[in-house]
Amino acid sequence: MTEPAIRVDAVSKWYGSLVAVNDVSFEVQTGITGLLGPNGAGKTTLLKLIGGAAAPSQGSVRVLGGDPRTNRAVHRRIGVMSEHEATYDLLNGRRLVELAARLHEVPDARAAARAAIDAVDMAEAAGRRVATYSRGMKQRIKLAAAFVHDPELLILDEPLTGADPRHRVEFQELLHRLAAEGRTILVSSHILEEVESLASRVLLVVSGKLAAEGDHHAIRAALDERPYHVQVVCSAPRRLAAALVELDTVDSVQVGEDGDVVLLSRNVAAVQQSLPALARDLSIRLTRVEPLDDSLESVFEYLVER
Amino acid sequence: MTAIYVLSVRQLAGRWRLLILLALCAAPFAVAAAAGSAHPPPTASHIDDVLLDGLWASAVLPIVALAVATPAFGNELSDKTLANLTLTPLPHWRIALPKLLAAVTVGAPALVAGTFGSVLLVFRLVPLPGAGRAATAAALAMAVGLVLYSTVFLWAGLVTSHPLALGLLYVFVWEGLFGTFVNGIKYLSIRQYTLGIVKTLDESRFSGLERHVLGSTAAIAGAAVVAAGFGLLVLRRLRRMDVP
Amino acid sequence: MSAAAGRVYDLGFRRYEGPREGRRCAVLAVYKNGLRTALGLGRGGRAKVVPWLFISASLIPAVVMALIAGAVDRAAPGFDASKSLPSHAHYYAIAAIVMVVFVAVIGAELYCPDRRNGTISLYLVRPLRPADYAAARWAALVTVVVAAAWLPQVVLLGGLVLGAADPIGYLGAHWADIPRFLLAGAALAVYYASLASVVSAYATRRAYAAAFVVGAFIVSGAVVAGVVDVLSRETGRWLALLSLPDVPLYVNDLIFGASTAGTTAAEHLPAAVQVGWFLLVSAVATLATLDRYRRLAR
Repeated sequence: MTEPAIRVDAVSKWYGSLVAVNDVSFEVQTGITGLLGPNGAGKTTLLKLIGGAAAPSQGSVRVLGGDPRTNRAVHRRIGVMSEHEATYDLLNGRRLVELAARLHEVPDARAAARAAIDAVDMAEAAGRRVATYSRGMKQRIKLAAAFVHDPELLILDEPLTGADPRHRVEFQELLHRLAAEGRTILVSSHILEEVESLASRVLLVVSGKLAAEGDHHAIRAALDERPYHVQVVCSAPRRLAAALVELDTVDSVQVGEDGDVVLLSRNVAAVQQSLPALARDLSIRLTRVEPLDDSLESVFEYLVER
Repeated sequence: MTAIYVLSVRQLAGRWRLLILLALCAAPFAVAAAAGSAHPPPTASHIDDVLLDGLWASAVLPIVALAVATPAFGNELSDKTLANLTLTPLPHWRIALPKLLAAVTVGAPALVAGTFGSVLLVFRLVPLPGAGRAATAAALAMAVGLVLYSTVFLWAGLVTSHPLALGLLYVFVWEGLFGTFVNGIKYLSIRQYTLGIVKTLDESRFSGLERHVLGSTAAIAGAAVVAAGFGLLVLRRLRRMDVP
Repeated sequence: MSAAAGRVYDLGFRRYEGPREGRRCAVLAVYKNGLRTALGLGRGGRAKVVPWLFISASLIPAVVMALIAGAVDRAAPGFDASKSLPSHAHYYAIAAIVMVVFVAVIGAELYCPDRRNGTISLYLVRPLRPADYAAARWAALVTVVVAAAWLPQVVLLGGLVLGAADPIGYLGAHWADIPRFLLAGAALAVYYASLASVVSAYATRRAYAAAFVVGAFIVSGAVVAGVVDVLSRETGRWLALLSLPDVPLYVNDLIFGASTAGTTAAEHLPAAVQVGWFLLVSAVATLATLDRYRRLAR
């Protein structure tokens, strides 16, 4: 197996008595990976450790085979977008991106900057000073500055704050395109929908610890002590409920006020197989059968509250 | 590296800052003119006391350095833009050196021209011999002093969030108040190194502060230690700090 | 079923329907907050370093002066130290630079961050007029500086009293110094605070405000000192009023009947002029601060 783009090994970071990152280990391969967690979970600190802005109190971080703190050359292949809104306000957009290109030793800074600015759709506003930009425009120009030097690894901290819906979509397309070219992208966010649509793999961080990692469906399946909720809308709820309780794949059944039946089960597949036959035998018409908590949101909520 | 230099000069050369630097470096001309036309005419010693020590080295030089060098890294830290410079393949000295040069570039012209002009003026007015040499010596020494103070304040801007308060404390309480009363402090005072360098460059004429100016060796050694020491401290800090 | 068997309480969000204090309470709150900000109280160790470092630095001359007086007294008993050694009258001239830097830094800390971070708009949303906010900050600055001006004098007094051969006698002979240094200290504090306030009201960053205040003091003092000797007596006396650090020292000298200012030329002017000028500068600076904040909010 090839060397992962990022390897974090038993990393902890504390500031005095505050532990921001607590014994976290994971690897990140090519493609888009989402770093998800509530505010204050340690996402930014973790990204700073990976980007080399901070040193771990314990453990080691290896990025593209090197130590981002001491290995200056590895920064040629990394692009970082920080969460802070501040940039060099006195520059205009184009100069800002050109500066980033020069700092990363790009041979033709002007051309690279032009390409990056076009890719984020900021060509019109590039001549104006950054201080005059809206929040969303600042985010876009900062993103251009982050990948102007064609890095293999992109580390983006909350890149979509302040973006309007149209730009959100364009941004996702851009990231997918970049990832398809073989890059590794690590995106952090506390907004679930963003991460769901962007990332195939998710790292869930809660209170400085890694709570879960992987595809979010797979994570859900791994939480097998928590039963799934399945909603069934049918013509005779109470009769169906009575019959469902008798199945041993069903843990419990609730009948709601609007007549929908919600059942809890650890083996949804088995329930979904036996349900149609049961309904036919009882002459009940099923209108809808829907698992309620297969989404990232419910996984997230569950893990945060645990 | 040039990119960082140009950026820093633009950051530091704000309209208000330049105006105030100009005003600061112009003020001593009033004293020079007054001293030059005084009756009885002042001695070179008196001029050194009032103009070189009292005004340039003790007041204008440190304030110019504070104004240009503390914001060099200080503003980057408080604006949280330093990561743009450090998360790059550039070695740290190629980030720190342009910042230092930018600070000196913004502060030096007014300082050097002001020192040269005011010393020349007063020497011509009195008149006293050796005007050109005195003026050149003073101007060069001030430039060296600017580099020294700037190195220290550059480091201070990286290390604390109140670099100015601590810079002011160092310059006016340590070098100023305590330095006046405790003789040994002159070995640990950039102000004294600067004056010592004036004396080194203009040995024959300089008679002013004989009693408390450093000898050449001490001044040059002190200057070298400060420049090298604080330069290394800046690099060490960049290497080890958590960049916001 | 019994009526009062069980109760369920609504723990959700409640509105506040009680009495609300008015403007006066808001102003008092800003004032107290200003005191805490200036001294770093309730803000962790690091915030306390700067103010307490300065206060220590200002105490050192007082302690040294007291020690010297005590030593002289022991070496030559009966020699009235207060007549010829530096004493209360001279303290402010000696420690002036420390006080200026202290006021510049603390003043900048009180005014600039709120404007730079935008939190000033949070204050002004309340029943607090912009001039009220500025006045509360000014009052906090004056309070802190007065305390910092009086403390070393009290320490000096303590040192002189304890070092004297006959402490009670010493106190009896020199009790008049106490109201003198209290008044001089208060005058100094109001002057410094007003000037630091007006500069901080206009500056964008703390560092610029503090540097400007200190620079203006030092350079104006040095330039005036260098120029005054040369001019004719009359002009020199009036020009000396432009020496920023000396203005409060003229008042100090009037109170103590001493001559401690850097440029003493203005002391030949009538007392009314010296005091009047001092009051004028302080008042104009304070009013300019209030006016600046009033304009800002518009």
